[in-house]
Amino acid sequence: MKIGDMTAIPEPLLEVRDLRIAIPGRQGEHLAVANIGFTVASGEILGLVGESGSGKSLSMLAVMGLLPAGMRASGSIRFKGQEILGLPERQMRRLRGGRIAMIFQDPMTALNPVLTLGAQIVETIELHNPSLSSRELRNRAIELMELVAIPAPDKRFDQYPHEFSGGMRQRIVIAIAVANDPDLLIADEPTTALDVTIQAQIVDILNRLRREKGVAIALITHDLGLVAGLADRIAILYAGRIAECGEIGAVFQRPRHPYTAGLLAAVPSIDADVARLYAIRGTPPSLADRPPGCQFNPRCPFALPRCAEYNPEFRRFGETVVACHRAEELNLASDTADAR
Amino acid sequence: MPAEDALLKVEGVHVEFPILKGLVFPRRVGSISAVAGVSIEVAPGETLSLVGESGCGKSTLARAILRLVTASAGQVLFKGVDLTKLSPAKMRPFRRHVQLVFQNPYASLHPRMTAREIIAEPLRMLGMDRREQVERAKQAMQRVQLRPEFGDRYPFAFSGGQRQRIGIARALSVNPEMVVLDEPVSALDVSVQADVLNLLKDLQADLGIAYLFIAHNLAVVRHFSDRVAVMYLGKIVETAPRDRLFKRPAHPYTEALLSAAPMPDPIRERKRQRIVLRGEIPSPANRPTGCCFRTRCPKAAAICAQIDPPPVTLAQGHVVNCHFANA
Amino acid sequence: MTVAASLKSKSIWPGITLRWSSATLIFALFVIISFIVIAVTIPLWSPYDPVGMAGRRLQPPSALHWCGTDALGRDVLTRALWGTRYSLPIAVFVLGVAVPVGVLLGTAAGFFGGIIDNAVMRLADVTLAFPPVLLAMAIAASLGPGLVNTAVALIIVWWPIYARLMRAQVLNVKKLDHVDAAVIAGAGRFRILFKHIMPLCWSPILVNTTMDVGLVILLASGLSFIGLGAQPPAPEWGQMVAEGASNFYSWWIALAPGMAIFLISISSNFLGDALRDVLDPQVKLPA
Repeated sequence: MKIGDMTAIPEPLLEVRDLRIAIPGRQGEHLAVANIGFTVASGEILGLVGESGSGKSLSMLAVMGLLPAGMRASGSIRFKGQEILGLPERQMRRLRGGRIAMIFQDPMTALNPVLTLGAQIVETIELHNPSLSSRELRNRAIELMELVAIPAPDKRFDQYPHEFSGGMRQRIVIAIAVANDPDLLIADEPTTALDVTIQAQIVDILNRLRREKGVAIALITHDLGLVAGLADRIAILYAGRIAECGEIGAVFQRPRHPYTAGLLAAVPSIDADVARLYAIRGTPPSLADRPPGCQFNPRCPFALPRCAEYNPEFRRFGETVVACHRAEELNLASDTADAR
Repeated sequence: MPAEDALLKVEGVHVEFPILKGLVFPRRVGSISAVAGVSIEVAPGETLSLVGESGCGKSTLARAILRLVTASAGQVLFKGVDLTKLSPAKMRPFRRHVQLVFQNPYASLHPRMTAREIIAEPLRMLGMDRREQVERAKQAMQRVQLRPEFGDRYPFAFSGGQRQRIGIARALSVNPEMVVLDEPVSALDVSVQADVLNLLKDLQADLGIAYLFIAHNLAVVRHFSDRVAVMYLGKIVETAPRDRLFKRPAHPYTEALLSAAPMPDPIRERKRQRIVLRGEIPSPANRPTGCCFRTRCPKAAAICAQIDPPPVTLAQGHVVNCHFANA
Repeated sequence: MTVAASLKSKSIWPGITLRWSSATLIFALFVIISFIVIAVTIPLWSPYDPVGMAGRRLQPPSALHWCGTDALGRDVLTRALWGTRYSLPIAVFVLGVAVPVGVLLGTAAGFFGGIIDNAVMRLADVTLAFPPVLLAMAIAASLGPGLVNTAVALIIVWWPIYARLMRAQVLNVKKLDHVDAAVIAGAGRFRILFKHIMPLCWSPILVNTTMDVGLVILLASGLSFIGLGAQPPAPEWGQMVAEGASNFYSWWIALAPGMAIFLISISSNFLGDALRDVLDPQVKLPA
């Protein structure tokens, strides 16, 4: 069974199936994304969680049609029922910045330093609404700046990026992203470069966008705390595959995949003491040298011989879907504590 | 709480960077005080965490302690010797006692030196002969759970976590009494972070090293430290033993930081009442009068703009700089 | 320069770049090694006397004189081959002095900063403010014509380029964490400079030097062309091209030396490019 079938909702906004992304290397191609599938419903926030090299950012670049030259994607990416993988650049461009928008990790490099912030917002609106007058454009831009909680937006309109701090710039980046009321916002580590107190502000803004504008958000992050606060559903990626995917509460309360359980046990808590953190042994596999079978098996404390033989199928448990041979028998909450 | 037995005693340290104007004949038009009068103490074998957001001066303070930047005022007493007064030549033998682990495991290792050479570099500087260097480097590698056979490899052959272990081994090779950890895990993946934190804790238990742990992640700080100092805009605003700071934060900034720290628990995370601070951190080139936090403080009153709050001791080891501190 | 720039592929996925540059690399190495071999062995197998009459004047290319003869009846090919004995040594000599001087001053400027930095860089700025050809002409003219004076002029023109390059490299590397790590390890400033900074500064210097071989030869020939460098009857390429220019309808006189200048310039460019591919970590493939 495919993961897409199991989490399918009547009409998902975004449906990714069997996505594979190949990166050229010295000895032929390597799969950076080896079969990923997930869905995002309208107005939903999906958290895509994984460590560096898990393929979370690449999959989203594929959705945007922005994969670096030389990489090849195959499989299916459907947006509102329409296949968009391999769509001609002209049509893709109309989607991008219109129906699908993206915000990046680093607000410092995402803005043009020689244009005023207002001009940059206006430019995006104008691209998709060429008929608006300059007065209307300015008003729309100021509305957007209010939406992302920028104080005194009509004064800020004529300022340049260097006059803004990191948190303020990230708000502008968000304002530009939602300028044309996109249906889907892809947020790639939107708070990683920001301080804790500023992070909280950005989280508030993202929540508000979803509430007031009904934007669906695909949130790419490695920060479990951020997903916990924002996402409705979560997909855990490991080495280019989905390990576990499901409703956020269910996954955090009762992780079914040893990797998920390991990640949760590896982060210290702000209000509880543990004598020793749980550490997942080893390191993620290199793309050129993937282990056979379940990608996690060399690091898994519960691995059996069959884990190294073939890749586990997805199995459904209530609100979650898991790819683990031992998903039924393990009770990870206590077993992980024992393995510690 | 350390008293006379402090290993490191930092007193009233200021670090200022000049703002220069003019290309050909630059002149000083002002200064940025990155660290504006900081006093901290670290006892032998304890971990003091220095917490704050980017630009608060925590890394600059660490660099001033290690004399990588020059303190413009104040003292850095290590076992009673003021390091800021030593000549570069006299400073060099002191370096073995206070070592540093860097944030970036990539830039902090010389790319054309093997792991063994990197780890042995501080030993070589002590004038140790070659055989002893190799032997000690091997021990240091074993101590950080790196296979000594890997000593001949160059840094690019190691993963981020392994590189950070090399950095730790380098710091430990000279048996320092204190190690400054400058965000040692923030560049690492979550699963690797836990590994490195556990290693650092084990090493402290075995070797009795004191740590000055610089971090912004409060959950990690809670897990890792004995005492915590919270820094804002170049000043320490609150210092307390760990349990007390996390249970009864007294400074409004500490409270806000704690309430903003994300929790990996969807139910509690959503129920939590957040203190969302308004505004941004002011520029250190243009510090507010009086209390440095007043521009963002929910409790700010007229007095805060006039008088910089003096330190108030609330309990044993719990010192806060606020006119309206929670008792 | 422009030829090489347009041929150079800046692709991030350099599967193609590597194959392309390995073809150009083989070509470049072949040309450069051949020129060196010719320069060393030409006295042993020279077809004619490079300065003596070899046949009738102004003969077009023929089986006897592959590249024709010049206005004095000398064999053009022979003279072009002997020309390597002027051009290669001048490139080696000019770069052999200018690069170390520039590197030394640039390192001092970058590492010590302050007054040394200001003094060195202002001197370099003044030198670089003049167009290089004009400056070289002025210096060569004031020293008097001759190959050695040409070389001196070129050295004066060339060192600031390396001083700037090296200074920028030192400043960049100096900021890296591993240099702080060396300070904390207790290393003295000279160990820091020689062990922790300089080994990471070489690659752009090496690439630039390789590319400049062609430029130096080109400029030296240019000075000879206008009569400031090698003097007749020396078979120097620029000089020969000048002779060709004064016998405009005998096109073959300038052809062989012109081709030689072209080949060595483009080969040094190709070699520099290939070196950059090897040395620049940004173009390296993940293992």
